Amino acid sequence: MIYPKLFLDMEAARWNLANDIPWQNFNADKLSDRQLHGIKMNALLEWAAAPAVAMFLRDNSTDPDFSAFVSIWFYEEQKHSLALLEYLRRFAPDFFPTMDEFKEVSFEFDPASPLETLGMHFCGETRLNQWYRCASDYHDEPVIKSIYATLAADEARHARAYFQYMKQAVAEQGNAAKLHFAKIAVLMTNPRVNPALHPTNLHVNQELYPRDTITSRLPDPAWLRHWLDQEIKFDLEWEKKVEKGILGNLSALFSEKLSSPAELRHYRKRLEDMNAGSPEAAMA
Amino acid sequence: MYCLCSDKSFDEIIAQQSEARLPLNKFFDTFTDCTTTGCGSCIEPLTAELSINDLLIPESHE
Repeated sequence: MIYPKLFLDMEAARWNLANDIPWQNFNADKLSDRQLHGIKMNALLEWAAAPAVAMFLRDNSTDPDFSAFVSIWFYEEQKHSLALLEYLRRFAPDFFPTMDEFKEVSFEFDPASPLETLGMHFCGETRLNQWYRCASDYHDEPVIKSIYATLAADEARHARAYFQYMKQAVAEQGNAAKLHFAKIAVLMTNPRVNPALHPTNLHVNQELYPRDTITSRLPDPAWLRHWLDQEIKFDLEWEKKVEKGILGNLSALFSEKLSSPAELRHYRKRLEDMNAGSPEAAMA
Repeated sequence: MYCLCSDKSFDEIIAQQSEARLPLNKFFDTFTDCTTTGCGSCIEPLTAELSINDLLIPESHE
């Protein structure tokens, strides 16, 4: 069981919202309304952990270990939203979201393969870690700079936790698990498929299409793309860090050196061919 | 494995330590971000890797 050790490790690393954020250092001169708008949108994105948790618990109902870990993840993601909301409450209450805006990002996600959802969240946390590092660099206002740096470290810790469950799945299910993870990683390392490769930007409810991504239900659906490209400037150099993070860890997971998305695509194809050729190979 | 916070693979980090052979705390401070701006979750697996590679230098040997 992975959860008990994760609980202790994450509890030891946990920060305190009241005491560990340097609220007293706030400097209003180093903040624009556009930046406050971004903080509001980001708080709403983090709030959308709730439907993801409902999906995790529903689709992993036979896995009590992972379901227990989801309780930690939910707590910490809601805390991320709360840290951003607390910033708005203290320094820019006009930007605090309305209850209707919170409700809009809470909707049911369709069932999906639990392993693909797991792999997607590993990739998503890896990406979010870099988005928040980039956001921390971008901001000049000391408090929000500190909040983003703090959230970035949490997201890296979440990625490592998801990775432990991925290792367990590979140990138990062999190539069948590898194939699920490779499929998702191909999607999440291909900017031509989706320019902002994060779970909040994926379609998750067929009946609500096309308004079935979290970002499409924000008060400003175009915000994320603009924030990444024009504000925090998440450029190719940052994108490379995400790619290295995903491929570097998958290389260890698959015992296969993967230096580029192209190598990952070839590896996935080999896995598919192997699994199609022999059902036993899927468990190898 | 790959340390997201240090933006380096474990292999790169271990290779740097094999050249420098720093005491444990200095190793983390010098070759990783784990103990400064990082999340800390690679500390345990990296320490294990150092041990496996006979590169774990206790502080008292500094």
